[in-house]
Amino acid sequence: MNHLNEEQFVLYYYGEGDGATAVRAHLDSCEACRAEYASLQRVLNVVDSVPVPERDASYGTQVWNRLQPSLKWDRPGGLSWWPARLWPARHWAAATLVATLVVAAFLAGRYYPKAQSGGQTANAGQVRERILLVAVGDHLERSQTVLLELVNAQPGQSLDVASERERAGDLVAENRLYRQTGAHRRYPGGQRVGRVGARADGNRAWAGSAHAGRSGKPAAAHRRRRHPVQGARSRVDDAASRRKGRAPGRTGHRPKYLIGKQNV
Amino acid sequence: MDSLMELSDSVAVAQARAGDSGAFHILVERHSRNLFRLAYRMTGHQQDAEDVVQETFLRAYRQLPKFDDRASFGTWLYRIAANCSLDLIRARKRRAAQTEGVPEEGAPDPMQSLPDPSPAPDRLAISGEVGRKVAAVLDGLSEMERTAFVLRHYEGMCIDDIGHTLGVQPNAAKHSIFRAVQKLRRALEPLVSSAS
Repeated sequence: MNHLNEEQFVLYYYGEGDGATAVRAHLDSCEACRAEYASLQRVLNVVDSVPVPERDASYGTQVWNRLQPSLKWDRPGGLSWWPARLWPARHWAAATLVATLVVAAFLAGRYYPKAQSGGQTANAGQVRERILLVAVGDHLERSQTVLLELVNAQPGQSLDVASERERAGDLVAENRLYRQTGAHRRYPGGQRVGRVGARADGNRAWAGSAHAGRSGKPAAAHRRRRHPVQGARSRVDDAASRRKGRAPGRTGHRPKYLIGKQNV
Repeated sequence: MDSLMELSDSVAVAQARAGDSGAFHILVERHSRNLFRLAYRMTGHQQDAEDVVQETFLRAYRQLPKFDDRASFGTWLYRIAANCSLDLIRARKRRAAQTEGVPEEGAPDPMQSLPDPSPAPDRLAISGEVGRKVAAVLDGLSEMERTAFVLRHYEGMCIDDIGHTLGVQPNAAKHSIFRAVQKLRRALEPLVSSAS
């Protein structure tokens, strides 16, 4: 086994380090290291023996007496330049409380509007969707009116459809716009609106109306069946009801017109 | 006062913080002699040691609000005293270095500010050659070596605490102690061997 080095001797002497047991075992078995360690012990014991001038029991009092004039007990540990009597500790506590409240108010003001603006963004989306539904509902209602006027015209009777034709032309353009908007927005209600617009029969109906002659006879086919525009209208109403939390089909909005022979 | 004397350090510190001068008086009474011993080992001069004790309590008083209750007040005082001693030793060295320059005409005699080469009265109390030799070797140690050695050898502080006190890694404190022991051995071994 290797001999111990000086660092190991020193640590062992002071009881530091973790190898005390191994050092002890080595010292027991190695005479050279034992002699070396004994030499170190002698030197350090000599250092220990150097006397220090002792102070008697009254030394603490002497120190205190010299110290006392320098200590100001109305503000232990305080700053010597601060007029503590003018600004006592309870004022500090009050000032700290006020400062805390100011900081809290500042932080609340700083962060609260952010949360609110997030809510406003969410609300803005809902409002946009609601406006779109109302606009589409209105569009479909006007479409329905035009078609019903055509459908309910007396057969065999000449009819001036110039104004209807003009409105039908506008409605075709609007229908395209709503279809594009609904497809672009991609929310459930919008998709429904998009599907309405995408339905070829709706557009075909408008195209037929818009391109009819100035006067003409209503198509018999439109009389007997529920017109696609009315179906789309009711789907839009259902979507609006769901937004309001009501059951679909119970919108409270009843069609003003019935198709075909069930005029009211 | 007798009942106050029975206060533990932590209670006395708490009362002193609250403005009780009597509690701080207790702490001064309790720790002055130990601090003097440490300061003397560090500085090697009685008067310097007295100044260190005084300055230590003043600093402790000023820093009392910052004292961590979980720590030992005695250890905290020792740390302050060690730093005060180091400050004093550095100031002494600066003064000595300044006196090495060429004196200006009309300037006060630099010899007056030099440490007295003759042994101080307290040194005279150290009997024999060994005592003088030990004092000389301790004086020759670096600040770090001397502080680390004094705290380890005389005050029994563990190496980790010494590192904390000196603001160095424990390893640096340990090597300072090794170097101090080496120097002491080199200087004292012939003396010790011849005596034995």
